[in-house]
Amino acid sequence: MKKKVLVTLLTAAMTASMLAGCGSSPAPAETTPAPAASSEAAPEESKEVAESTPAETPAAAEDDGEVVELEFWSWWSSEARKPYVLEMVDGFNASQSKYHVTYVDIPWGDIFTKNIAQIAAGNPCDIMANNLEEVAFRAEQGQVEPLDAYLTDDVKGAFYEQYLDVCTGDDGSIYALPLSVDTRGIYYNKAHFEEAGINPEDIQTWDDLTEAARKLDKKNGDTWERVGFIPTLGNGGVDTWMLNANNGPAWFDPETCEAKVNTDTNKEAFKWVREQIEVYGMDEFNELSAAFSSGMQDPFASGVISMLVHTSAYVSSLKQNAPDLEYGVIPLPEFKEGNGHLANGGGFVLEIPKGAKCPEGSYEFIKYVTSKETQDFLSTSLGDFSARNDFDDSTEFFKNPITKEIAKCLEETNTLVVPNALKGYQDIINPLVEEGTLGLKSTDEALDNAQKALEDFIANNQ
Amino acid sequence: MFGAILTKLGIKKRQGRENVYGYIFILPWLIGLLAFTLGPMIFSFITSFADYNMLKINFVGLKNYTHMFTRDQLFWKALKNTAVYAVMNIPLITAGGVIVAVILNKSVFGLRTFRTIYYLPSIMVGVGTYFLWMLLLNPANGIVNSALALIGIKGPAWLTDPAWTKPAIVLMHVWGLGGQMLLYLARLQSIPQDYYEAASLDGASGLKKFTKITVPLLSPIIFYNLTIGIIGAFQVFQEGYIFSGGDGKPAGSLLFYNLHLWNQAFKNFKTGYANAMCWFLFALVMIMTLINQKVSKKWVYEEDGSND
Repeated sequence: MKKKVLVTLLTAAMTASMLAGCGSSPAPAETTPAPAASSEAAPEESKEVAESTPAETPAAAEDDGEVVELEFWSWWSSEARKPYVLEMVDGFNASQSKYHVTYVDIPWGDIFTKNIAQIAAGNPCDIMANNLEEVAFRAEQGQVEPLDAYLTDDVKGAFYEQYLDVCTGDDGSIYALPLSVDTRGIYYNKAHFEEAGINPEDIQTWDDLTEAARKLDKKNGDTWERVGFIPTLGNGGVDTWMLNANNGPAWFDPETCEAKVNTDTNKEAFKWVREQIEVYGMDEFNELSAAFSSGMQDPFASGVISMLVHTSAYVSSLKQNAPDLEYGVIPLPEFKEGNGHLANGGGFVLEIPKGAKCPEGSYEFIKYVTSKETQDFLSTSLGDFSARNDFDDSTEFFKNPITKEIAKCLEETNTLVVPNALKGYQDIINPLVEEGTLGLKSTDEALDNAQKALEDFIANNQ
Repeated sequence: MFGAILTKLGIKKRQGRENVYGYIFILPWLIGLLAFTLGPMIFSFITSFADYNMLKINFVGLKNYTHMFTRDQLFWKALKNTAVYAVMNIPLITAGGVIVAVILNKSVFGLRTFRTIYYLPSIMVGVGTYFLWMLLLNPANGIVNSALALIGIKGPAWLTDPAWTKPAIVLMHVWGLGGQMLLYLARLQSIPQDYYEAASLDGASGLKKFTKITVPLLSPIIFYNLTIGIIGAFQVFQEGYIFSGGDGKPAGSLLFYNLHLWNQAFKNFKTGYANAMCWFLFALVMIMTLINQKVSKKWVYEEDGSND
């Protein structure tokens, strides 16, 4: 009988705790108290930021005592970035008294699904970092609030037009402001260049690049001691080279959204890409690809590769992995003389998720972060480039020679925006194009297949 | 106290009371199922007939299903990739599990240590192991190709050559067969030694004993592992997601069904379509499990009264 009582009690306790557990789990995330995290940032430096932007928002002075709590979501959690993000948030909190922003970092692999789930549940964060390329797509999907009601001409006028265009939806409204932008260039090893007697400024066309690569190559018997250049390693795919060769979108016509994969230009350019891989053979290529994708080795940092296409963010990675490496950056060369040095770039924006409880407050934060002072602070501390057009060489950031070289690449950069009508087209053509890159098919055949597939894709999705 | 409540409710018989207790014990699971699994399942079934992007629902009838079979260029490719992987993976893991279990059932020196070593990979799950395997499978200096080089074989570029990516994943799973092995081992230890002794007296060879005694007596576990294995193989996702960075490269060889589905749901926000894909996969796996169950009657040994 005693046993029975015990069983009954245990069961009741379990049931009760289960029910309690169910009840508390859907509790809104809002109730999170202002975290201690933001107080971690170095107090002196945050004051500096606050002082350099004296009372930017006088409207914030309507002290009715109610401080609105806002959440800012992004994925920056590393030691190299998070302290500065926290400092920036503290700077905003100190600059006015109406809003209090809390920084929440969520891993890259989770943040976007979490964000959309929160939007669907009607309880999103207040400010969200997201990618620049898909602002218009998210706008079309109804995931973001338009900023038009708050934007003033002085704010709009401070950004390069091309980036503001990318932040504009199909309906003409602006849905985000750029936080940072990036570009691609060719990083080169200065010691290798000196040894081979190459002047980086002489590399102006693809032919010049090929020539330089052959001078840099070093082979000992069957093994490559030094690899001059492979165009698809690092952070430059076939896409980068095709964009450069076309001086604009390569796979489709951005106006008519028609497929133009197997054009003569693309065929010639793609053949060149494949030839550069063939110089070294598939074994060497596979080895180097595996080294890069595991993330544990960096053949450029260790001096195995002399030239590598990468984004502007590579600077901070090299700072960590190879602090002593002497390198420079040159723009992508021209496919043919006079064709242009265009590279594909991207970036990040801040936006207000649909249904955020206080869009005015969210906007105040976005405005603060994209202001000249804060952008300068972020550039100097994180090495990010700003989309603002009012920077000149006088700032500390732009005095760095590498920064200057990358800024030159940034001048000829195109943000590859996929028209909403073609969303998902890369999934279709990339595997087919890759068959050409890997030599499973001839480059022409691969492009013909991709052309056919893209035409079908467009027809299927109308 | 509880007994009194039941008496009041008119449940007086022992049988009835035990039923009530049973339900109370499964209540935590039942609430979880109803609140967190069944609800979303019904919702996903309904939205599989809609143009749904997690924010807007617009019913379109069977369009998602017809799009899947006739217009989605990656659907069949993803399904084929998954099937190829399943066909390679399931037999190897099953046979491997049985063989390792049989070997580790013999009294050999260091038996416990070996059992532990074989079981260890099963508790090392998660993304970390995939990164570990990326290093092991490095074509130039990974341990797999270094070992192959010792016996004079030039190892392939496992994760960069489209022809070798699926074998690479199968290899990784073979490494983790300890979980299955443990189940076989438990069963093996319950096989009475008398059977083997009697067979030896009758002059049966080792192989004969294995095929006539060990395998039939293991068959219920083999069947269980096979069923779980088929379901698991068609759910393969993480391997493709991590090794390819989400887009199924090289050359689409790691675009598994669930990776394609995930991309549709969370990259292209065609969530209604992704739900339709989920339900097709559910139907497919269900049919395979039923066939498996029917066929199993022919080869699975059942002790009297264990099931029907």
